[in-house]
Amino acid sequence: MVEFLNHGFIQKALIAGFFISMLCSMLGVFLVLRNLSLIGDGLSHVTFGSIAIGILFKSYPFYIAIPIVMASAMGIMKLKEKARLLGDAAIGIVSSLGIASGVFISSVAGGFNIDLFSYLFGNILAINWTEVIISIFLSIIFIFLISIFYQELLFITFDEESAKVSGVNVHRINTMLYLMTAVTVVLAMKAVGILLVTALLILPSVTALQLSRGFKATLFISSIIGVFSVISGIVISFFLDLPTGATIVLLNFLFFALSLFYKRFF
Amino acid sequence: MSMIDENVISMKDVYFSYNSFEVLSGISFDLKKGSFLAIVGPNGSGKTTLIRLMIGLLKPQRGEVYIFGQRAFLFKDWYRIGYLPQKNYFSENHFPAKVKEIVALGLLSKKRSWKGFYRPDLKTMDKYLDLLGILDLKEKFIGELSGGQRQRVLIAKTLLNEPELLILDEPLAALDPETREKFFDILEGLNKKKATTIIMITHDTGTIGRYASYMLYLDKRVIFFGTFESFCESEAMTEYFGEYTQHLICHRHHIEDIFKKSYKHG
Repeated sequence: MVEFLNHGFIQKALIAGFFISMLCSMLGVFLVLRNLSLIGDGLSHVTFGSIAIGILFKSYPFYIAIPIVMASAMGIMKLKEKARLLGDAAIGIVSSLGIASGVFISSVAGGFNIDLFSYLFGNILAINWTEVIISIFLSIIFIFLISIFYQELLFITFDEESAKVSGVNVHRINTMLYLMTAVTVVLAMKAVGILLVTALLILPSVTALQLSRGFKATLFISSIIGVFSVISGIVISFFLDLPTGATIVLLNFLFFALSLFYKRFF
Repeated sequence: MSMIDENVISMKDVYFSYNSFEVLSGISFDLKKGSFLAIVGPNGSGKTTLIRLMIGLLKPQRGEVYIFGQRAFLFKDWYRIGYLPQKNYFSENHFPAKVKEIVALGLLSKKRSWKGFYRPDLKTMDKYLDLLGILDLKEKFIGELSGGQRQRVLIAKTLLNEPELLILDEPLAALDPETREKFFDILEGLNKKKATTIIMITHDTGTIGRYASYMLYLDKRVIFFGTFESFCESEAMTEYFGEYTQHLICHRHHIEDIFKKSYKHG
């Protein structure tokens, strides 16, 4: 086991996985309760398109993806607010635009399909120190923001209209939530891949909601489940030679199934 | 000081349409501090739209709306207002927050800017929970409560801030008769002792006359605005409603008033 921890790639994966999963699990609670569960799916599809742009221009895809996905998150928010589209419809539009752009660019430019499609399934064991440091830095900032705006986030999650009439700047808090989600999706892409990002956002939070003992407790339980799934997923996949992203997601699903069982029989 | 400054709410020839469907036309009235206004009218008469215009959640296509002398859509002194919207109670079934967490949100508007690490005034919270007979539910989850209990929680949240203006959109619907009495006693106390201005949408025209000083009958336009006494004496209203309906509202109001007075005097 000690030898396992001596591997540099394992150290990087465990550190980044810890922070990314904690952030995903906390944000997921707000997204699920606001019927925005699929925003992670939509934004991860945009990540696919923006990675294609990054590879096309031979830039580091991470840096290209973050601003594009943030802009797309704002696009979803504006479509909901201004065009009065329901959350799912706005997510669907931006999501399909992201996938179509990725396929179009890779087809027209040609020659980098293998690179692009490697992002679909991610590989946390291949994460580099720059990505680890970005993950730690952004996760700490976002968790701090969630802590200081906790009351406002709780209020708009419960009742957006009442929150507005109580002086909560709903637009600013929503913008913050959407932008944090956008950046988190790009970070999580490295851990589990574009196709499985939604699982990191949704599964720990829906599991915690089955066991909830108050709002703060739900955030805490969600974080514990998210972190435990990622850490144990990395360990199990290493020793059993399994795909890491898929192992993490399946563990998350196992905990969700156990929570349903617990709620049903205890 | 202008007339607008003396009025808590002032509407000047207000028109509002959803797309091309006109909901309110030519609404004008002034409401002075310390008034208790009942807004009544049939379904779809524009009652909720009217109060959403008052607090700046909607902007009129024509006309001017003032609240505490400020244009409603620029209003920022939210700590002066308590707002209880019409709710769909089924949406909160899976919300993981406890009653005390939800009620505490009522004090958030007292904080002018940064609301981080906010600690609610627990004594005031307990006072209102006790007055509404739900102190024993403080540690329960909102999703575990019945519709009437949830409504009492939301009422406690709205009253907690002890605002200068209370705006209540059909608060009585889910309440049992005993709780209605308790609720009206609280409102009467706030209105008489603290000069709290109260605006309430209700279909309970029989009971509301015992407490409200003014009535606004709305049917896309103002059919009547004035005191209950002037409503009962108005020949125009007799002509509009018919003698029977007017009699039902005014007679019951009169009888219940006598009953209440004799009950209070032992």
